[in-house]
Amino acid sequence: MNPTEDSGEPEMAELPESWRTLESGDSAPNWVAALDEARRDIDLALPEDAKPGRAGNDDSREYPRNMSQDRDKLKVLAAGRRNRLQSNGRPRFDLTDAEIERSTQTAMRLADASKSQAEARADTGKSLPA
Amino acid sequence: MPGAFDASDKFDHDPLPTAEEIQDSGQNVLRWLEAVAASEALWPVDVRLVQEIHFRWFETTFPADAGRFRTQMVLNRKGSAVEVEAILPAVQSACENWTWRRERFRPTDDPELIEFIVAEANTLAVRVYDVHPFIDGNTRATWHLRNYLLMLDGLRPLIDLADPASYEKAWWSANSEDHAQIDAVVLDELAQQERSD
Repeated sequence: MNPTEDSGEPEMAELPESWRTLESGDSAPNWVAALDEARRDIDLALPEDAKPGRAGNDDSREYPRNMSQDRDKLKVLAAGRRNRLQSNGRPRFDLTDAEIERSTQTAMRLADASKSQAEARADTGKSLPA
Repeated sequence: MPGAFDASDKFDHDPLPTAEEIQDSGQNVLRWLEAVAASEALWPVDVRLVQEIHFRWFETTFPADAGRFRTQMVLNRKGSAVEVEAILPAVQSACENWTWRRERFRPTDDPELIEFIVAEANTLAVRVYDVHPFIDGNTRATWHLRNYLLMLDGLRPLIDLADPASYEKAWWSANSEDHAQIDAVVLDELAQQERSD
């Protein structure tokens, strides 16, 4: 008989405190275990069509599909994209300070509009037109 | 609670300096995302990215809520906000879907690729917005989230809106299953930006 079998189960190192054992028997960091538990426990709270890979989710939509957008616009954007690609395959944008500022301002204007509409909705209890 | 971020106690509840600080932070978010998207050390599209974008927007003005999912129910404009317990799995699911679809369906030819990039970026932005993971700042966080997704695949971010009314109408009516209208509007805006460069 092998001497290691004599001593029963091979000695296992204890998991560090920041790790836990999952239901599957695998070990994982606490944050992964917490995520795993949360996703399992709350799975029922999600509508079926919001779950990845489930029937009804648009995961089942196949590509390429029929293009519905203006091909001229797509070609303009494709040309710009090609021009931005560098030799390492990553794009280069060189956004100006003014562009950065304007994009952020646009987001803030949309947020203001969203908040005022949500407040009105909360006041009236009615759904507002989109 | 709509408008939870109106004025920060970090700025004596004065809305003007609060708004200016948020504006500065938002600009820094976009500058950071531009650098990440152009680099070879890309940030994965996951829950942490969504939280990080929000954190950077509001770290200096609303540190207690910056980057943290809400702990109370809210009524957002679309009435789409999910229960608190469903936020994490819903955001995770949305991000996983974006990644999964990009790995499997990303076209190689240009026109189809551009349409795909925009449609998928809108899908994830709309999904996350509809979950409404944060007490406030969801519009701003998802705006720059989509900008990152566009830049990740070589498109420029949305800067201005030549037709803000059309954008708003399309954005508020979009959902993850039906976003053709917002796809068309965003493509139109991006093409106008590209032509003017």
